[in-house]
Amino acid sequence: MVQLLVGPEWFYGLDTLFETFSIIVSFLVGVLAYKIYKLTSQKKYLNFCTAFLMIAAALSFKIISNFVVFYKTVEKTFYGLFTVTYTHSFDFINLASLYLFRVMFLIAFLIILINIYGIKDKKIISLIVFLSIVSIFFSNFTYLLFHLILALVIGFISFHYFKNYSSKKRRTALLVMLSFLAIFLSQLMFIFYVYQTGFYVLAETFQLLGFLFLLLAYVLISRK
Amino acid sequence: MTSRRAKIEIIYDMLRAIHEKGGTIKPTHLLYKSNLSHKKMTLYVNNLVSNGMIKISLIGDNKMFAITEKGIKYLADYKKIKEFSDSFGL
Repeated sequence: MVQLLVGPEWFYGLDTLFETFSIIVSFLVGVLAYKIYKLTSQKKYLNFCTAFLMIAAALSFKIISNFVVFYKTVEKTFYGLFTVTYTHSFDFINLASLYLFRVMFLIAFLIILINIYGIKDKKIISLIVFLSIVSIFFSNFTYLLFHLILALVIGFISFHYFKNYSSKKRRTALLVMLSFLAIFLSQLMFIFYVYQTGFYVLAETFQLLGFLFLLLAYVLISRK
Repeated sequence: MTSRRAKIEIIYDMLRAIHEKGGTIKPTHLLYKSNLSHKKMTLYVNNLVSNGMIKISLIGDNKMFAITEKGIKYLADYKKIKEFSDSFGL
């Protein structure tokens, strides 16, 4: 049996709407990064394009796995503070979509981290990616570890963007910083979800807020 | 003390210098306008030529650098590129 990520029943479907919005924003930022890569031929813009398109793809896989939860949830078990939802017929495609979401989402944010911190050593990059991926695959606490690693990675990205905003003092830099900060907080909320299902709603809302800030930054940059 | 120019700013300064000269410029003028060492300027010129932003043409016996359509597009979209770079800390 596989532990699934679901929130309160009234939230079913809304999370998919939130995710769809995030996919569109990620896609737009990815396309903008690609256009800039075509003009400048600098690899860092191509890396950014790859990262944002991967986020869009990852969230699409999350939507697929959410549909499975919506249609196939058969059992809820309460362990004191914990509420765990199980399904008995979690087929290969659904399991694959969940893992594809996790791997792609994590790699996308790792690409952003590696890019903005200017890590060039291929051995170090391989080590970071390998350790991150392995730890979410070969652990008894896959769900927790995934969000913990992601929170750590996005936390470092947010810190970089805080320093970036402090030096540049641009409105768009502030929006990008707020965007990653909100996504970082959403990962913390996903961790607390195991204690209280209501945190799922908070996590999704923070994530939506993050992509909303990103959309505002995108609009301001595109209008230049 | 002024901060070091980023690569996108150097490219912008070089292309703008060519554009302001009517689309073509002598290497010595570009060297003066771009405020780079000869070695650095050669690296950037090679980069711009391989990216299709400028082309080398011969007018009589003189070697000239000419801005291309792609180079003009870079100048037009520079603000967007700069804003994206600064916002995303690139």
